[in-house]
Amino acid sequence: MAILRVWRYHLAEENASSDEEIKQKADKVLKLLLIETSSLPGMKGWELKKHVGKEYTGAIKVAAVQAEELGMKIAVVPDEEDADNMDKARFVIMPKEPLSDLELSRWMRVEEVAALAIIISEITIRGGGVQVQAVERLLVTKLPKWRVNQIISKLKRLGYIKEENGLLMKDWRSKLEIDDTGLIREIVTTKE
Amino acid sequence: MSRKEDTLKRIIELPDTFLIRGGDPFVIDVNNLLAQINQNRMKDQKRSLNMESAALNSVSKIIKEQQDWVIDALRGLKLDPELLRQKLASMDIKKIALIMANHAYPSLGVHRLSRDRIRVALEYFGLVEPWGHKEGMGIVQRTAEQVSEFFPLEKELENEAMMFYEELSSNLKNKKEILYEEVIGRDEMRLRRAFYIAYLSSTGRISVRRNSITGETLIGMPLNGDFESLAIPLG
Repeated sequence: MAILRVWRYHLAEENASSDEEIKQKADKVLKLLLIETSSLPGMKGWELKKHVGKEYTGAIKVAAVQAEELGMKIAVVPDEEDADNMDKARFVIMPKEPLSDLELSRWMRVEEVAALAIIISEITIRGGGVQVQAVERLLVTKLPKWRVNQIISKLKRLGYIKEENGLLMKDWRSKLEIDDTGLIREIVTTKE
Repeated sequence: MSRKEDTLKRIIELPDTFLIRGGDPFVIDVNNLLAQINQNRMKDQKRSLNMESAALNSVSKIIKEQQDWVIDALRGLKLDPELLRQKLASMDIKKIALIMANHAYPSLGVHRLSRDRIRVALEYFGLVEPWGHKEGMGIVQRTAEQVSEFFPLEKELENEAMMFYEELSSNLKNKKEILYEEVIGRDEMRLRRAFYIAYLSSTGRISVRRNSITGETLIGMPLNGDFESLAIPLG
């Protein structure tokens, strides 16, 4: 009986330490996702696995609960070619609420945000793809030509838009970060 | 009819069969059709050009159908594309950006400064001297006789080095790292101390490293325990 009690005690100790371990790993996941290591936000599953270990998906679930308490959420962006593979998916931390006007300038410059809104609206109108020249024609009515080219390159680099066969399309960050239906509705219903 | 001709004919007839069938026009891959037209050029140039132009005309009909389908779909959502364009045209940049902010959930990230940017900042505030401006440690002057005193390494020098090590390690207990210049000093024992440091670092008892930001050379305890550090040659 005494042996059994000791065994149970050890088992309880082991579980407690593994919970603690998972919590430590979750803290690490939060830190890794928050600190930018490249121009793109978040981290790929295989990178997290390298830092946290094989049970990184469990750590992400705990980290998601911690993020929730801070008004954030962890989003998963599946790989385009291998959607079921978590190692290839990108994990990103996002706010649960949309931006306020005060936070706007910390995201991108005002003209860049406006250009992105115009591009997304035009892509949606045209059913998913719009010619680069058509976008440029729209944007030069509001911005100088040199700035338009700069903004398009920057938005491509940041993963908001992509170019395929001369057509601009939404890239993963636009799909993830922007509520395009809400955006278009508000533009149309706003009084001048 | 050749296989190439058959493929082009199917593309030419596609809009008619499509219009009869109805449905989602985006099931047709326009890029694939264009690639097929490109791949199926015939030897008879005149006939090929005629069929290619007819096929391109069909593709343009499909694109038009896709565009109309999207416009209809948007109208179904009570969103008129022309109205949307007019609204965007009438708004200033700030207004558009503010509307966008209400519907944007940008990914969060803490921007980390690179070591190079930190160095630039330290230089700007005058906390460190820029590269190349720092005065060098100077060359230790020694004669051939002085050098030959130490080679091959005498047992006596090894004992002296170990005594020097005891003194150094007691200082390193208080301070994590000591400046190389402070240790070798400026007196006549300078050369001898330099040899002691070289000997101790080559045997892994101390580590000598260069701080890439401040440009200082520092002496510390071995990074991963005894006999695991590497000697760093000093010019």
